[in-house]
Amino acid sequence: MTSQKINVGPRTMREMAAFEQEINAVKAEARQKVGDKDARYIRTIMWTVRILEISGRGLLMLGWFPPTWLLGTFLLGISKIIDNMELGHNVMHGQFNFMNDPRFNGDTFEWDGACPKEGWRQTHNFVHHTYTNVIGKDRDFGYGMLRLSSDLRWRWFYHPFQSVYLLLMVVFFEWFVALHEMQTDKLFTGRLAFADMQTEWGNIKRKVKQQFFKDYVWIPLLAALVALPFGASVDVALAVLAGNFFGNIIRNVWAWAIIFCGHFTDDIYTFDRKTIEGETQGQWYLRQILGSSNIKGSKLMHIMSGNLSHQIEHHLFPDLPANRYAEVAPQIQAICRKYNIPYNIGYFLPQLATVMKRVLRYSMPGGSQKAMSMTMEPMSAEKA
Amino acid sequence: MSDSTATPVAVSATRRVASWLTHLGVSTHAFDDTLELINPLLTVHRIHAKVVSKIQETPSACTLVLQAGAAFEGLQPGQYVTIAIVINGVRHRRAYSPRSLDGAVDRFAITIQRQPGGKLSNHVHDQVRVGDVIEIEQASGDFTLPAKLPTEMLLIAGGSGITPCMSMLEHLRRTEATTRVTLVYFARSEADRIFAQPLAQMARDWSQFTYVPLESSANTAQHNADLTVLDTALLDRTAPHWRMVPAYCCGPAPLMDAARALWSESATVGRLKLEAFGAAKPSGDPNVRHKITLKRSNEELAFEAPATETVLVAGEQAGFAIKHGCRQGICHECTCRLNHGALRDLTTGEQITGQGQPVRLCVTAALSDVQLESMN
Repeated sequence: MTSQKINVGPRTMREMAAFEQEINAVKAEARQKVGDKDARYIRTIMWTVRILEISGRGLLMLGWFPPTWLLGTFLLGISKIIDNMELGHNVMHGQFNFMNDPRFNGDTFEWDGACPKEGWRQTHNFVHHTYTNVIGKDRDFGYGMLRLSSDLRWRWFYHPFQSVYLLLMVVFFEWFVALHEMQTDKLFTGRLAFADMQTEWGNIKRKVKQQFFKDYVWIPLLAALVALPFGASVDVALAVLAGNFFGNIIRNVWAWAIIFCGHFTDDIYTFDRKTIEGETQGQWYLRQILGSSNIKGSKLMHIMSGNLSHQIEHHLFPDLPANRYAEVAPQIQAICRKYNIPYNIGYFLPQLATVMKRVLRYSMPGGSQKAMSMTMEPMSAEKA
Repeated sequence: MSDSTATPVAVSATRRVASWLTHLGVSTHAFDDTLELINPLLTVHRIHAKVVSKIQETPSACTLVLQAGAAFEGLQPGQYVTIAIVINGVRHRRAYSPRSLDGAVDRFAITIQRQPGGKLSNHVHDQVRVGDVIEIEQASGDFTLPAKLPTEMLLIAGGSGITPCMSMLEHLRRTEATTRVTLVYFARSEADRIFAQPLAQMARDWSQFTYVPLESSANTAQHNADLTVLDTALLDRTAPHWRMVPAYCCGPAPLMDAARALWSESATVGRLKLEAFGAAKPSGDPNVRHKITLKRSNEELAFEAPATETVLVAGEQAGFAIKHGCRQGICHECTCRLNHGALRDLTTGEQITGQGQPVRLCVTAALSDVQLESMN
């Protein structure tokens, strides 16, 4: 299909350069302030995760008694959410490398999830954050499974049922994310051979095994041991196993919802490959803003979403400590107003509803004007 | 001859428990942090030490006496210990030469010279109090006495380079070794001479010890022709057997360069051991700037390095947070693989070229445009 021209943002190359400078100034100012406050923040988050996890797992060891089992499962889920999002995702971006503390080193941090850290740094930090919403380059757009814009050809034997796969994906999100590293879509279509993916496969196997044994073998066994004197080993082990399973599911569903609200809402733009040829930093910034959407909410919402509620700021400055995003957001919003750039923001449930609408709409053939594939060429043409 | 011992049973048992717990998702960091809540000296992976006393040695040097945690394995005289202190949210690490106190395994002293503009040394002087807990690492380094002690040896120290030498002297004295030792010790002035009193005392009481205190700034940054320098005449006068005996030199770069030149020019049988300390500072043309590209997984940092800065400092001045440790070429945290270009290793003065060579960013300066790749 032919690309439509983008009709928002800086109109000339000169304006684009000024826009770039303004964003850079925001970044420089925020970076200047990074120090003790950020270090204290991430340490607090780390301790929050640990205390929640200990309480959750502790409560689960009391067995099937509904109040403790439900609360334990809930706390475990919350701890996994904060571990993966506000702690893990941000630390693995290298946001806290400045601390020079091995606990918060982006290269060595390991999170409580099935996706191996090595693969994540490749597919997420590099591919997704560089080629955000570029169709055919950003593998996170639709995760190689879903048709989310009319850029992808509709296939009668697959796409009508994508809501069903989506449901599976929501519930088992962590395993899908882990397998996503394998570029399964390319393996199925034969564009990659399994032999090419040996390193990735090795990492995934190692991490998946580790996670599986932890939640479904070792911790239930420990619980059985603890409950032995009370003669309730089997009951308690099963309660713990079930609690771990549902704790993981709580995390999966929430992580999925937040991540899909970041890039697949109604008003986001997608781009074709030509967009990134000779792209300036200003154009890259513009693409990040147009390809991301924020979630309006309280401080709790920001922490629980790993500050992906500030998806736009996160995509502009992926290695700025996440606790600074709220601070720079008003400045970014002001710049967007000045240059006539839509700043996509909404409350969580309405945003999620537009995501679902998109999934349903594109399970049918065709695509409305909403499926925008655009090029920013008119701006580079000003150079001549 | 060493003051170090094997790991205590309690520590290795705790480490074993920690390794079992990793299967339950408890990282070794979390395990240590929890122990730290009870008592910081109990940790088994990251080791801590408590400041037992703080002594002002000279107007610009102070000594911290540290009580190390149980996991500390002790030290050999002449080795260094890296300490880490968090300042404004950033963990800074530096290596210092500890002196073991009365042969104790877990108690030692480090002497820290205040560096102009130095982050950690000024922090220690101004902020660290008795009772504070700081992070330390296991002792390491091969600036140590030989396993079989020689009958005679020579120590050359400049400024705070005296600290490892002092550690060796105290060890020899304590163990009643038969070795005759000569110490040639340069200091800028009497006021700046660390351990002036104990050394004078030692020289009076210990007949095997020859003490040669010299006042000189010639081997430091400011050259002054009137003052004593390290040369053949000086060595012939103060330590006639210097060509035959094992020698140790620790001090600022010009002193070490002088020693290196003397030992390589003269026909010596004795071996010279050198130990650098302090941050490296290249002496290049300030107008020359080289392009540095540093690749880490899929990120690429690009910046310009003036010939007067180390690659690490140049990168930091360009606004990048580059993984590093001691900033003295010791810990290899910042080591990168060289893909293209040439650099100078400021600790040896040698040129590093050739693909695949390891480069410590904190002690190298670029000689050309350079492409580097992070090793971790």
